[in-house]
Amino acid sequence: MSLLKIDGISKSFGGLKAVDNISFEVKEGTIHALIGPNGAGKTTLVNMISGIYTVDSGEIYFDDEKITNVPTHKLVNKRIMRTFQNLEICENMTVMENVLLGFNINMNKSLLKCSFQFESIIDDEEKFTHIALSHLKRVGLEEHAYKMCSDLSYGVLKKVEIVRALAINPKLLLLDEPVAGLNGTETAEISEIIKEIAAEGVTVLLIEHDMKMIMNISDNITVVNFGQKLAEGRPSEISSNPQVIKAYLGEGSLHA
Amino acid sequence: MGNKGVFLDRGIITTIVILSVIPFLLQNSFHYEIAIMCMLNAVICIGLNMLVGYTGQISLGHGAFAGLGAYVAVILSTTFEFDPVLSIMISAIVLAAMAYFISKPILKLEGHYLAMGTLAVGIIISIVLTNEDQLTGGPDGMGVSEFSILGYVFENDMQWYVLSAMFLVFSIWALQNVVNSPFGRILRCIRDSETAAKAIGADVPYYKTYVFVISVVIATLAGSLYTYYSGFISPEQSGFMRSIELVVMIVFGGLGRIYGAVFGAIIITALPQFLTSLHDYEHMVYGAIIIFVMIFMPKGIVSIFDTLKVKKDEL
Repeated sequence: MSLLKIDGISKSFGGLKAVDNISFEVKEGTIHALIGPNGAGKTTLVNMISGIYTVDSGEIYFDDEKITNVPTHKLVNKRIMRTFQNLEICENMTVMENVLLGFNINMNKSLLKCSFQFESIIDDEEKFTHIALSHLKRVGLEEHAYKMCSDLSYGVLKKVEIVRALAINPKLLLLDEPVAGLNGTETAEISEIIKEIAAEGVTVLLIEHDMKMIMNISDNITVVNFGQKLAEGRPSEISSNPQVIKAYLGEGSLHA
Repeated sequence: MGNKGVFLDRGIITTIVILSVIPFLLQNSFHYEIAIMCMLNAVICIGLNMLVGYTGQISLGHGAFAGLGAYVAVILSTTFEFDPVLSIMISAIVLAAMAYFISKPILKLEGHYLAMGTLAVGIIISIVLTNEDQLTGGPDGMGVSEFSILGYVFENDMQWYVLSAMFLVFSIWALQNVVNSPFGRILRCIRDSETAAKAIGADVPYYKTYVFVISVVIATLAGSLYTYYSGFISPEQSGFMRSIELVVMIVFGGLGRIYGAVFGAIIITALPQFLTSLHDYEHMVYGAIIIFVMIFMPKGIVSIFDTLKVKKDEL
């Protein structure tokens, strides 16, 4: 059964059709990869799913419910979480605080209770700090828990962002280039984390340029190019699809 | 109200001790006036710091909001003979409603544009207060009725000192609780990355509006109290320079630091009084001090404590 259904969505920026009538479905509990050359419209697509951009036409369904143009912060209540290509982490906060932000919708945020330090606020804080610590432990970040994010490396922060997105046990996790700019070891670690998440039943929509990783961990792949869907299928089908090879390597490569 | 957290930390206790010692050093009414002015400015700065330092939204209109709030309270209690506490409460509600409606369009602006937007609102308020002379007494200002809480009349400096000190300690305590709570965490998240705030499910415009309204209400309360203390109000208190002065205080003290706002307000308020003996050179020295602090301590005067702490750890 499909958890996320994209039905013919389009988005233009001025005269440029960034996404042109793309449809695909993401099956529940799978790792679905979205690939394509730079500028193909992958991030635009994810930005539309997560409500950061408005959709020009077409519909998006999540769990058979229409979520087209629902604002980002409301999608969190439906347990759709995402990470960003260019790291959206609060630099002036500790790793722990960033992860606690992920529990935002489960926490009591009444200003009155917060300013008078009600017991419920402190209990919440204790409870979620405990859960956050176990999440951090799982990805090997417990030693960094109380460090400032501005002092940590890019690779660590990429993981922090994933942990933050996982805080509320999302149903759908959108990962926009989680290993971009990371070295081999870090990439392998994050691939492992993604596989584990998926094994626990979280559906993952993954954008990535690292082909080795994509072929390794994804169940299904959708290829986009110039804003249109080029191909769809299992990793083995995609890697031998002539159109995909052409889009990535150019016209002459088929005959080489 | 049950409480398992740290109820009173070292900072608050030190503040209470210092505030209880200061009256012994104050020799006359003028000294009291400076001390009370410092404390009430510190309260306004704590509220403003929540907006500028913690949420990252600049406002160059808070002097005008504080002034307008004071005028509303004073006009109600002096011209219409309302009870002073009731007048302050009504003025806080009026200003909160005004801040709410202004914030809807204005907080859509960012950075320099937000600064200009709030600046414009501030200047309009100031012009209205100067020109509506049948209500406000115009540029000459107006006298203010006496202040009392439930019949207890505030008539000497010590009473005002205690009231202001209590207000200050409460503000520091409450802000400290807020910034370390889930609410405060969202504010800091909005400052660092609005996109991240949306992605974790925070309704960013809601929080911006909330903090804007709260900071205006705090400015109104402190502004009104000061006016009742001084017994006189003029449009100068809501002018452009007043708004700038408040922002200078929090930047000078340390943006996004609880005691930054307090130190900034105290130093910027009291410094000119200490420098009056320099006569003609007063403004030059005042300017030079601000410039040097900002060059050598760009994170504000409270960054001294961070440096001291690092030195202590190294030893």
